[in-house]
Amino acid sequence: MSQSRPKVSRIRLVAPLILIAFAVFWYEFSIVYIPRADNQLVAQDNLAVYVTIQQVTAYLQALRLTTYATVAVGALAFSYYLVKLLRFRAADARVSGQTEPSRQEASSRQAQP
Amino acid sequence: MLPEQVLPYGFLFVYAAFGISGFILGWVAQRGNYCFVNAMSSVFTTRSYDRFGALLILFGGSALMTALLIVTGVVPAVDQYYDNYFSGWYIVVGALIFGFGATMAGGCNLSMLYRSASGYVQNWFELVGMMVGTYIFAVIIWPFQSYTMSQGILSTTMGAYEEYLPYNIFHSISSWSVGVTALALGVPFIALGLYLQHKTRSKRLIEYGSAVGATLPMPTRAASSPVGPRFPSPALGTAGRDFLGEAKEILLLRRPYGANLSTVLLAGALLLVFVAGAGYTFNYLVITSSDGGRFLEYGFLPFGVNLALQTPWYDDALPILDPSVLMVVMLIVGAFLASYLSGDLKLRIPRQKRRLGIGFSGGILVGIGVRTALGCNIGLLWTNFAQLGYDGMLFLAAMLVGVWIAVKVQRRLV
Repeated sequence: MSQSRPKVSRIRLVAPLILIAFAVFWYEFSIVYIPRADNQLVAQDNLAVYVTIQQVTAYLQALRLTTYATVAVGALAFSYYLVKLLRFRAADARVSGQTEPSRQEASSRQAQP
Repeated sequence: MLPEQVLPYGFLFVYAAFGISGFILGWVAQRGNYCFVNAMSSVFTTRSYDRFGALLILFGGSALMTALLIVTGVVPAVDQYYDNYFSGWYIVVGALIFGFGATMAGGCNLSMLYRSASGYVQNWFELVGMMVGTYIFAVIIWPFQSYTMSQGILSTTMGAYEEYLPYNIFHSISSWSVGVTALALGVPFIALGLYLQHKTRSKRLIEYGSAVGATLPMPTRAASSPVGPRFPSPALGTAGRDFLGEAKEILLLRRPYGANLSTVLLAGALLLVFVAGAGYTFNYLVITSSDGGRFLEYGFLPFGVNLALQTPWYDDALPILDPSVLMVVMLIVGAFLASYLSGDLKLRIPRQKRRLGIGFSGGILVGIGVRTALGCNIGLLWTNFAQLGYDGMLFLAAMLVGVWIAVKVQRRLV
């Protein structure tokens, strides 16, 4: 039956998870590697491309806020489409449940002389 | 003279403003399908000046709006010219290479990012190619280029006010000199942009009229709004809709943004960072240092390699971090969300696999070109108009030549 085709495509569910993973990965990467790389520059006396600690801290704080926002939006989108998908599946199951007996009735009627 | 801070909220505010601006940039560019290279190549392929006209309006409008903030005393003039680049042979050569490479690869620096976030695999290859190109530039070209810059060989040796048109013309950085220069620069660009758009739309209207064999109504004031459709056209198919209906369709992501609406919103993003970043950092939009340079640098960090310690250009010209990092990250998030919520998000693998190779090699040229020119179509071309410099005009002319050559080459290849 054409109605059994899910009306919520897979990308609607997967994309928010990709977004959340990207945001969390970037935040984790930033807090681990960027201050460390900056400290290496100080240790090597390369102050041409060194960035002050205030800037690194501000970056991490701003990034944390944007990560919260991105994760929240992603989680919201994922929840919305998950509920939508489950509703469609439930509706599909109801339609299948209603039509199944009628099919059996029809086939039994055909079998009778 | 050192730059002065306009807003006293500190670096956290600055980084947040750049992040918001990046989000707007990604969202609007995705919804408006805004691409500098496509706008230029359509001039040579389909003789359509609609999007190129929008670009000229963007340049002229940015010059006028930043100057208005100077003239009214909101932002000091030093914050406008302080980060003006050197000028020289490298801008012409770099912009030419960039125009050629970006046309071959299928997107400028802005469209490469938002299309990558929308699932265009060819643009992923362009992005990687750009990182490789940046590394090639750093190791091979930068030592030579920095020598010519320091010696003044076909190069100016000082940026800032020496590259500032009000100073070049009037030997003054007073409000009136900034205002007059901005009017002289911005008004002709906006007028030319509007004229080119009008010309293209009139031509389209005539073609549409002859195609449907019907007489179309004369354009009304409502039809010339920046949001709504100019005329009923086959592409839009929404004749007779009122302004509110159009706005609702756009807000609900059912319709892409028009070129001029995108232009206005993008200019707003530029103004946000212009004010917020004044006195703290490079207070203009800049993406190429991060997506081409820092992302490669960051990619090596988990393997214990820090390019900033021993590689030319990385070790003397690219700070390990600046607000543009957050801007680019949020640009990707904004474009991803815009394409996802509008239903455009889809993994798009080109049928011809050689398109991936072309994207990668074009990306290498993009990386070499933008770094040689000291900036891309955002951080130098557009930004320099807002800075009231002249490098943007050099970049524009050279980039148009590069795009023209690439269009010719593409015709041969096809």
